Amino acid sequence: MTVTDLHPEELLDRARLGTITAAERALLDAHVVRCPACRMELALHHDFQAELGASDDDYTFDLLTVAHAKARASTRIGRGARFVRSAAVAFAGALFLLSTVAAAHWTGVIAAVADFSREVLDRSESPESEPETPRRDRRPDRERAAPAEAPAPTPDPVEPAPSPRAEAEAPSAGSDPRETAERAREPLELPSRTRSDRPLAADDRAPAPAAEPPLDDVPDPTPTAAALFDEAASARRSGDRARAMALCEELLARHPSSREAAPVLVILGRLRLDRGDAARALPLFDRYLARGGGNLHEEAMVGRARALERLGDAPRERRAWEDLLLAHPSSPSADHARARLARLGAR
Amino acid sequence: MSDSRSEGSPVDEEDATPVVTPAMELARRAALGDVACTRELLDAIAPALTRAARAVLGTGHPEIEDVCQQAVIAFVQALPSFRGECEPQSFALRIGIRIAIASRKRLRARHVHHADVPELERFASDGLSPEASILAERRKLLLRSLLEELPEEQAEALALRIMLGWSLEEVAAATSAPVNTVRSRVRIAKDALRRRIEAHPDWALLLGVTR
Repeated sequence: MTVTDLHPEELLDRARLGTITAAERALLDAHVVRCPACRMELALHHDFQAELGASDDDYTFDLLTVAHAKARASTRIGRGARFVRSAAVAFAGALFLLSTVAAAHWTGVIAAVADFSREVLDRSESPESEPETPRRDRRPDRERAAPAEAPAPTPDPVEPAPSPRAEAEAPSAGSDPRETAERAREPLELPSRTRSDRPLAADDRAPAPAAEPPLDDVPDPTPTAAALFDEAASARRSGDRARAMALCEELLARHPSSREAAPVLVILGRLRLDRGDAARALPLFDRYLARGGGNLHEEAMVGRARALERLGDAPRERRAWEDLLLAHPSSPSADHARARLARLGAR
Repeated sequence: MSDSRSEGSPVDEEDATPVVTPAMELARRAALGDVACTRELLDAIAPALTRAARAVLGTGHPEIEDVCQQAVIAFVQALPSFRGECEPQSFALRIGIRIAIASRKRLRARHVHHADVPELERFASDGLSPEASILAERRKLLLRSLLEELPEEQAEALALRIMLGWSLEEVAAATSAPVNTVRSRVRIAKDALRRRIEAHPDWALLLGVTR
């Protein structure tokens, strides 16, 4: 057993609680320098604090209230009766649908529900394919490649021209039932200048806020890369993926050499891929990989392979997955890569 | 995340007599079938339970709703066996963590990979550089994937400790295990984490981000 096998858990606890003494801190620091696991633990603790700090717990409040009623019912009717438990789960889901509709009259609740729903919906390949459904199927087929992005009114600033396939896949803009809730939240989440900006997405038909001061209606003619990046992040968080993508494209067009540009290549590629636009996602991943190295090398390789998978280019997809396994054998996508290779067949 | 931490093992150290907190009294009444108390109890634990599920599964994971429902039902059904060795919230969180980890393992066994990519779109203006934000996502993804491979007890201890920030004593109280047993589980789990890092030098990037 080496020294790094003996992790100073009590010191880590005190460091978290802020009760660690200077002497203990020195001991902990000496250990952490040598122990990647404890270094990772400290970093992860910060990571999860940051992630879990921002919550949409109102959604689960309603969810659990309904589930609680069913759980109580199942417990009281007959503990150990398995069929009751199963029925309770199914009934809880049905009741939750009803409570979601009723909650539409409560702005705060519907905003919270919509926020959470957007997070889940964004994982769906075709979020706009079911515009009339307030609650989506919670088990979407993620491999279903139906596009949801409205066609851009102007040529793509990132690529010279969209591929015919991408154009063919782009549906007409449709109303999005989530937009109402998104806009209800938008003033709370976006800085004032951003709030007044006209969304760049073609499918955003919301009228300009009449009460905004005139100066705010004029977008900054030369936004910095950092400002565009932050605005894209805000748009993404508010669920407006089309605007996030447009801002990413603007960033790449205006500031192609900025430090933000490299990760945005992968981010925009992922966004396009998630929207079913594999043809326009692929060159972004290629551009990132052509730069050589980079912190997102693995993500770019995964994105490229997934884009080729969506495009049905089996030979290139096979090579892409093989390259990924060679470069990143322990990638979280390694299992998927192996499964795809098995399906594609050995050469 | 502070509200997701247990408030320590509610034991009077003088005479080792368990201290009955208001939440524990609520749990006792809920276990006896008091619907109002059950509702109040669930209202109190719901936010933390959601965060626990989100920590293990990842924000936006489509299984979060199912895991939360399963956890709250399992919690209510387990209330009669709750012995008051920890706060009810800790008891609920432990159940939630176990169910969430089980969900990850189940999805892994079925080769479902919808969450096996960093949530790149979560890039945020939280003071970190774009690269740092994304590397943070990768670190979390690494831990989540490790949980799928560890034995249940080790995965549970690691998740409670790192994701929820519990102390060894808090984990011990919630899992009804001796502190030294928890320490051993955490050590073995962290050794697995260390081996993963050391086996792949490119992952050193994950550790290079400082705040």
